[in-house]
Amino acid sequence: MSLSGPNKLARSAWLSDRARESIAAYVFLLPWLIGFVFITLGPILASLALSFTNFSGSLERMQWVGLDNYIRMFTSDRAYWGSVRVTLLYVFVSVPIMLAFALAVAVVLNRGLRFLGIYRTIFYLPSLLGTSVAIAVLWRYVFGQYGLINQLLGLFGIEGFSYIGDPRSALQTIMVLNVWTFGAPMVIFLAGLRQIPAQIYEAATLDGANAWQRFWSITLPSLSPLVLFNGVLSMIGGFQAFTQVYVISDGSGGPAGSTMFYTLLLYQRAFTQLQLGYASAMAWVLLLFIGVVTAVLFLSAKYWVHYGEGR
Amino acid sequence: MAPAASAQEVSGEISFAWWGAEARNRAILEVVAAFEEAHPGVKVLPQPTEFARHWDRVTVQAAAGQVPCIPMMQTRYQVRYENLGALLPLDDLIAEGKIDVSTIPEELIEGHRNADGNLYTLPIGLWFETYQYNWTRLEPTGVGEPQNDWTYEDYIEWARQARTELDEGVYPLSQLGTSITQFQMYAQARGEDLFDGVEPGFSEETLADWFRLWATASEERLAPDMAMSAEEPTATPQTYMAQGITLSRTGGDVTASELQAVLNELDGSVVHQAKSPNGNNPLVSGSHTLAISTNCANVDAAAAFIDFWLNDEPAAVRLQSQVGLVPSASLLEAQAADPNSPPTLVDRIEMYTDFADTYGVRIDVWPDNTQHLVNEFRDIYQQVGFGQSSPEDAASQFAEEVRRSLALN
Repeated sequence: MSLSGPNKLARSAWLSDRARESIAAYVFLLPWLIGFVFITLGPILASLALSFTNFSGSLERMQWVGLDNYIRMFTSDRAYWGSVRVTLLYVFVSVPIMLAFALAVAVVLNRGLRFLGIYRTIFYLPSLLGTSVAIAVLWRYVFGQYGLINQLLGLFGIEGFSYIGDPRSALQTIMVLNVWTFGAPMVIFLAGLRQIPAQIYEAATLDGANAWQRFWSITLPSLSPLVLFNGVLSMIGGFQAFTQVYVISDGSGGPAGSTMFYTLLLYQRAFTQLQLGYASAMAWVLLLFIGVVTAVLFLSAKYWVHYGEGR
Repeated sequence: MAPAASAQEVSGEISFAWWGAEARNRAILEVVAAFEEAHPGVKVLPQPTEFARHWDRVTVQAAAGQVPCIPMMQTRYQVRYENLGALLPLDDLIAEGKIDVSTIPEELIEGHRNADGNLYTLPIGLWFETYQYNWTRLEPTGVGEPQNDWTYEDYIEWARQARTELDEGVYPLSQLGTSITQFQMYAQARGEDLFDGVEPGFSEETLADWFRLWATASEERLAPDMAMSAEEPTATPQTYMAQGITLSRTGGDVTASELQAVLNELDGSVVHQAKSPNGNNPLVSGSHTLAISTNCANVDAAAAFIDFWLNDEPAAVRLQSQVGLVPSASLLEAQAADPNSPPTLVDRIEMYTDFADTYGVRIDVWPDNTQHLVNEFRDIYQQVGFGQSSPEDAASQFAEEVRRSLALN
């Protein structure tokens, strides 16, 4: 039904077309906005407020404690700095290795192999499974005292040990699990490699560049935006890693605190010890730290990320 | 006294959360079904999970004011939720006759009373710490059975003798250096304890001795080394004793039945139990309890549910003490007399009665803010076991953590 006569005039007088479109857009956005405000933004701001309290589940007993939670975190929590050290090691060792591995595999797959689609799928699968509880459980069985690795070593007369039960190797075992999930960045690198014009390589070859020179001077600079993209995402994911270590260490962060990730300590303080105010403070410190590291990565990008001509 | 809740008209839904493995879950669901049959107007919404997840979940629910109507509690953990205001005082419901506790010994009820004077939980199953060993595999070694008044020094000597008779790769002891509960037994045997008001109840010297004892046990291969121990599953059916790697372990008496069930399938070995090694001190006992959450909208039905657990004889017999020994003496007798009760249950009942008569019983309720010490203790001993800390430093570190925790109360 179309509007005509006085109705049409009245509508035009009240709202312009642009305003009507804006209102329609906001009406359609409303469900998301409600969700964002009440489910995401609200709890985030609430956790900031709680971080300055001793909230332990009872609003009646909650008291404002100012910066006490932050001071305690940095000065008297026995496990805090250990968890920071473990998390930094995990992120700054396993993420670069994973990215390097992903890039290497992508370069190999980009050489026009037959059955590329099958290889791509096989290598991508761990990314889908790697953070699942099932794989973490499997990891326990593979790297345990009586696990698959030691059974294989036993065939050659080599006596293994418990890789997840020894603090000298437990964290590395979890790092291996992280590196194993290289499929997602690999797929992105592979897509990037396909965008590099073949003529550039041909010209470089004619000029006498060897394979390493071509990789270092053409491939890597061309992929640098994707290295930044994968690096930022993997780094943030690394700081937030929880499921694998929770399952593999049975929620303990052991042995001897060697896998006590920041997120796991936060979880223990919140849900084992019911120190929800303190855990909120820990969460905010983590958020700020991730923000700072991400900002540093982006600020450094102008020195090593090449966006091509005109950028 | 007003009529008990079982005789009253109750209706509506109540949620019920507990933890347990398959056998316990099955038994509890049978009791739930029997309750629903006795109270056709009530629908129970079961929420089972395993131990650690249960507490994580209840903690989150408590923070949100959404604790299930009836959460199962345990003496070591319940004070936190009582102090938080998440549980309803049951005194009025008892006074009104909605929950009948007349068949339960008064000292047992009082053992569960909070320092604020209120009674928030009622015991539905008692458990006591025992030393469990595989008698079928121990007997051929000729070293004899552990005795009820032994201390851990006696067990180490016993293990040294047994070690020479066992196959390679089989350890006489489990690695217990990480267990705060077993350290409690060790401290009690020396006239000390875990807590003494707002101070540790043990000396740092005693704790350092404990750490040294188990470091030595690992070195002599009397118990698995730290790396092996660190990856030992906590669920009874997967523990090293259930897998035949160790000859003995410790745990609540209720886990002995679970263990026996696993060994029946594995090789038919028979599990025997002795009193936990705290010398001649009273039996350390805890209980699984039921409470009503303050946010429960159907308190009358919840009260009827608890009353059913405490007083219904067919339900108690059906339960076969899967949550511990029933606190009512008459129901305990009924369980022992039931021809369907497994021998391990009858043994446990006899053992409890015998130990209680000989040594006495102490209900072990931990103060608030100390529950995390279970994990702290394990981590600190692991540092000793892996050579990252000396026994003296570790003992000092843990004592300080105990002080810090108790100071929060």
